[in-house]
Amino acid sequence: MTFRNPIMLVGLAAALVPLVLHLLNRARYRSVAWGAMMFLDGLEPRAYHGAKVKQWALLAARTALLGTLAVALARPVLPAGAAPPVRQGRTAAVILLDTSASMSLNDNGRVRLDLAREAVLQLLSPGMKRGDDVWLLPLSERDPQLPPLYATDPQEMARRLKDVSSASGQADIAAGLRQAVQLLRKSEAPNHEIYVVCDRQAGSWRGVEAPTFAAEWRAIAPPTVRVMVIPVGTEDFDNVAVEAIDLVGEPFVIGQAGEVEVRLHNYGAVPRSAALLDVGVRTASGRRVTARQATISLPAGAVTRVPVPITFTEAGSAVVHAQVTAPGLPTDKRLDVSAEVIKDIRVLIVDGDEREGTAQSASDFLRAALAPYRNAKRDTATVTVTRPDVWTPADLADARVVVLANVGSFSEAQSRAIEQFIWDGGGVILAPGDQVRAENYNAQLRWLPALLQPPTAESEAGLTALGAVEIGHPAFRFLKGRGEAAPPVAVRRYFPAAPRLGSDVPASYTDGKPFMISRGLGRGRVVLMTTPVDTEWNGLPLTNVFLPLAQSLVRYAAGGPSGIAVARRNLLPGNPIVADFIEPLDPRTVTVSVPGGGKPDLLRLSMARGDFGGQVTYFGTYAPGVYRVSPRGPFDLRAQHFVIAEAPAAESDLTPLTDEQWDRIGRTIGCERIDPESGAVTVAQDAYRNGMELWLPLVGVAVVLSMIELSAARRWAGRET
Amino acid sequence: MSAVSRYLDPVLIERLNYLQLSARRVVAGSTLGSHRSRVKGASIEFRQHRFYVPGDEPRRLDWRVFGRTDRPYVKEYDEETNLRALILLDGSGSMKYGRASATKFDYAASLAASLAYLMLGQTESVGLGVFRERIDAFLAPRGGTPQLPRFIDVLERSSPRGESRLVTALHDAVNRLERRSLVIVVSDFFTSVERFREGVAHLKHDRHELICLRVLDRDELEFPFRRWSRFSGMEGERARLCEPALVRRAYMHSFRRHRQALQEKCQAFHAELHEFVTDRSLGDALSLFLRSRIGA
Repeated sequence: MTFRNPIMLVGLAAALVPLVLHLLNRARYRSVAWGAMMFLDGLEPRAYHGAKVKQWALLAARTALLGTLAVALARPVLPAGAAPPVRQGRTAAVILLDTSASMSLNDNGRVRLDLAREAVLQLLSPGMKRGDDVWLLPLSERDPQLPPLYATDPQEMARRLKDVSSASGQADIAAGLRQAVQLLRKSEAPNHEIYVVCDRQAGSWRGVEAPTFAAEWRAIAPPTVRVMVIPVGTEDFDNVAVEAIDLVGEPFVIGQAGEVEVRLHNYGAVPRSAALLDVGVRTASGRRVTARQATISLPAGAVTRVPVPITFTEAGSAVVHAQVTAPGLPTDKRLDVSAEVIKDIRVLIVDGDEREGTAQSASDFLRAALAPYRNAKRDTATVTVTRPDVWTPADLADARVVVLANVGSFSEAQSRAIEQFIWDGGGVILAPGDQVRAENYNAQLRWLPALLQPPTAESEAGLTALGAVEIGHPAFRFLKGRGEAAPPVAVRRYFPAAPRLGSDVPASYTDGKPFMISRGLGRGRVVLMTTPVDTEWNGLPLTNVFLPLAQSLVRYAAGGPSGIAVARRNLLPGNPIVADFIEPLDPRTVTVSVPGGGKPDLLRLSMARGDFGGQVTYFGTYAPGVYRVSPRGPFDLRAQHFVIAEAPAAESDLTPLTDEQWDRIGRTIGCERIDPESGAVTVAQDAYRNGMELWLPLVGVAVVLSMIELSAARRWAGRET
Repeated sequence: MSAVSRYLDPVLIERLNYLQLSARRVVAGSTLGSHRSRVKGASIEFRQHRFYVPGDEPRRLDWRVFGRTDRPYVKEYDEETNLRALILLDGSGSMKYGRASATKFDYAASLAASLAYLMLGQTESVGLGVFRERIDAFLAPRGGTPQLPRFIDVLERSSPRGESRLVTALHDAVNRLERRSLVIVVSDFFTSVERFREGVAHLKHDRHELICLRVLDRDELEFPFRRWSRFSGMEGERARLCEPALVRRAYMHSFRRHRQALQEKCQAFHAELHEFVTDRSLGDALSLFLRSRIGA
């Protein structure tokens, strides 16, 4: 505690006046010859003791009264927490302004970002003076090339604050604090301050709550820095969000039934019984189609999955959107996902053990499963069957998936052609059987996802069955919802296999050995089944799971390029758009449309043109929404849709920090928390800088003491009639 | 002048003369009525001769009989009055309290003298006992004009000092009184109520009438002290140093409780209790007292 007027502490001597007077009065007593001593002698000892207690109580009250007044006149100041004292001179301040998506929430009629702006304005004036170094650092995914707003005039900073109007993305306060420290190092001002103006969302502070951050902060934060946190808005966390759109039926094929699964998350504590869900599609040509509109019940604090069947009618880059009408953040009510639709799936089956008659060889079963109608529009795939000795690498050109069913050996050229086929985005399914020697496969097909061992012997002891199946794998997703854990498939023989690094094992036998091993290679996918798809070694083709398994497997194998495209076209804010075209590209004809209908920033647009194609790159993707890159030319150049997510799903979780978390954060970064709801920010800022003046409370205490003294004296020493 | 001028100044005497009529009614209210008494005493009508015993007044010797018979006989007369009053005056140290001009003892002595004046004016017999731990000075009840100077003389020779024991004085008085009498106690009654009850019981047992006249100083009623004070007892009690303001409430409570107990005891024994405060004119106070007696 410090005193602004310490000379007045001399007045503390006045506190001794009552004691001195008391002792003087006691010493200069009056002698009274008294007759009615029996009424004094008759008093109980307790009465005399009580009188003494009252004397000392009154004396204490009078002493405290004068002492309190003396201290109040000395103007004591209570420093705010462990904040370093203010030094003479300028101030360097970094204001971290939370501009994440949660700041767009309407809190009792006021948007949180507006409340935050008001708090910043109060910090700037009159807290900052002309000449102070002030930085304003919006906390959300934003253009890293943009420097933080800087001004040495608070009024100018206040004007520039109006430009910070959008709230999107997610705030990382830990990163903001690190950047703030770096900014403060640039200033030579003796006073360093960091202000964090944010909402109460716990997710924004996750980095600060990390176990390592406390040590990091101690290491990087200058000892003179004062940190003040100003949380705005309420602790309301009621929110319903479209959390994700899972492209279950990927890749989507024109005319074939596909499926997306919309995940709705009700973060609030209140169930929602009539949330309106609207799912639609925007095709490559820009046509909009409604897939489903429904009213959904959403239990409190839970995720609800809504399957939506979709049939695409147009190939190319499409956008699937889901929108829910519910309370909460406006930014997470709609979600767009870029999807890729292919024209068809052409499957080339190379059957190494083709036999006479129907339903004898693997190709028979696969053809029956993949193209039962012999109709390209209705069948899952268009199937072509050939023999190992007649197929050439040129046959791969038209195929999207190649099935190598019990093919005994490959030439070097064939092996290399298949590998290239996979790298280019093709899918390969291998199902070795009695024609195959494991050592040949291991030697010739170095891209296999596993090393094969000699097949198990055919005996009763070797009988096994399909065991653990990963339902989440696209090849087995059709099993979702079925009661049984694994389909009843008896396997007499199989190739034990050791998966290579980076391979997945979506299904195993009951003895734990892999049944299926998959791997991504380049843009394509490879699936190795360790038992053939005929009836020689197992009964798989004769079970009811064979047909959906074959269709799912082919679809999965064909989905390599689509999966990559989807991954590249669904981006976070700030990530650049990269659109590849295999056709020649005329830069003059490329148009980029941005969300909101505005014009793209041409300075952030670049194009590269090659002999056989081109690439368009756009860096200005800080506004969430759908970006469309559409070139025109002599070829059939389809537009590509890119989706910049509004905010990470975590931003939808508005759960506020608990008191314990606030305390922990306060200890970690040594900050003072100022709640604008409970007082003016300017007053709190001044108190934090200069400490809290205590003269007024002390005067109040003195008034209370004087009232106590008066009433006690009146009560204890008052004249009675 | 005389003691008369000290305790019965002319103004008071004039006032007392005015109260004569009331006084008669007071006396009447206290006794059974005027009639020839069988009680012997100094009066006009001769009753009998009795052999002299030590202690008899020599002037009451019948010298004629002594001359004829050479034996000492005293003459006995019938008393005219039927009222014998004994005023018991508290002469203890506590009665010394008061302003220099008028202590409680002075006030009480004036009160006693006034009562004696009034009753003697009604040809009653009045006696006086000044008590402390016991009755130190005693004037037997008599009538007649010479009784007043004797009364005043006893008063004059008395001064307040020492400890008082009212109960002892009451026992003593009962033993001294030969006949049923009116006993008037003039005191501050700073004594134990229980002990006082014993004395009153003894008094009542012998069928004496009792009137208690309590003389108090205003300070004792209100305890108005403010400054630190050292209260030293006037009857030898231990001194106490205290801030009066803080013990005043307890003092007043104790005082009121004692006064109430005193009143209850007096009522229980059909005795009257009247308070006199020394800052009030004795004439007014006496007038009020007599009027209240008449009313009673």
